[in-house]
Amino acid sequence: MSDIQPLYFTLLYGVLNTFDGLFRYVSAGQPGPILIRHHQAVDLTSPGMPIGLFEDAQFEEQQLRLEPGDKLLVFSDGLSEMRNHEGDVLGTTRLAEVAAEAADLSISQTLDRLLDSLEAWRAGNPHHDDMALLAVARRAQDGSGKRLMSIQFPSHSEQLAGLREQIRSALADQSIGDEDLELLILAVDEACGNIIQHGYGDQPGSILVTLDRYSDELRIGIRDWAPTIAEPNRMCGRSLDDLRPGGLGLHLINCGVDRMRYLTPPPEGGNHLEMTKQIGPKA
Amino acid sequence: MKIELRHENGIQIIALQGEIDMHSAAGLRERLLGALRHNQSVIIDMSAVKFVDSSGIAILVEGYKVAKNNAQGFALAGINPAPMQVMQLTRLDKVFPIFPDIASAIKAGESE
Repeated sequence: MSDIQPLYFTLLYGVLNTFDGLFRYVSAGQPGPILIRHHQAVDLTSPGMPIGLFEDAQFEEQQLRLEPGDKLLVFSDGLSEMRNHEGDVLGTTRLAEVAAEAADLSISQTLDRLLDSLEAWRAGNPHHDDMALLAVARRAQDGSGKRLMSIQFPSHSEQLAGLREQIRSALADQSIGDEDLELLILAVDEACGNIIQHGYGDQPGSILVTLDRYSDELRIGIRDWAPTIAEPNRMCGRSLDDLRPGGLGLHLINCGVDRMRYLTPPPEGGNHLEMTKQIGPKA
Repeated sequence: MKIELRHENGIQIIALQGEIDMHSAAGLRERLLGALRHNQSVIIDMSAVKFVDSSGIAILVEGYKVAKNNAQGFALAGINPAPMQVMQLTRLDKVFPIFPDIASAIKAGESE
């Protein structure tokens, strides 16, 4: 009998970038995740040693991009290792089959359906491990939101004219008046100008602008990879009574959109600004 | 952006065409401050300008302040709706002398 019981644990560690849907994760002996896409569920379990067993264990990062409409299930092995009365282990393959049946459901319905199905399969057979189940969904484009535009361009002021033109054509058939449209374009121009001038300075970089239409609002995402701004939501413009050049950009942004806020900085750095503009119902 | 300078009745008229943004503002600044070095009034013809952002506004404010210091006339003429909206939002419509067109700006200058 050995003196020391090896202490170890399994883990799935992942970071989901909610801007572009990129899920980067590492598995240390943990099953899953399971991806549900187009009515199919795929078991994405990757090999990896539990933590604590070997000092020189290597862990390989996996990457997965959640597309609009995709769902991702993350779960503990207590769930996938449950047994029924016949002594069969549930397993990730069977779990994926059950998950596929819930492909069209909302995220909360998916969880309810999964738990019901698993309870039915287990049929009251006692289970002694803890179970955890997490479901994440990326909004479908054709349901609640529709992507109208996504362009990435180098951080240079000569790009701004093209950006404005792209926004103008992306919003041409949306129910937005001329004045509101011009102010919205101005707000995006000002925000990108700030990134070019203050975010990147003279350094090369890139800016990603996305435009999504929801039933009653437009959402504009502006992503950069410049140094992350400390406490960005506390930035404020200057008084208009003070007649001097410069410093009006933030004021104009606030005139052009109903709300602007910086989202939590993505793990790989940079900034993520989200602006929303209320608009009338779709024509 | 296209910038054309012409003289009419001893007044310098700077005709702008295109969009005034962070990219084109530097060129405009050079031309405008250059024009203001001559001891003549300046009228900026904005009738072919469809877009102005805060970089453009900053140049106009700077030009206006230089002109005021030198006691030179400075006016904007023929501002389109979108740039006018920016002037109003920044309250500069109350600061700049603004005229519907070049002719009325020249006339106002002559009667001063």
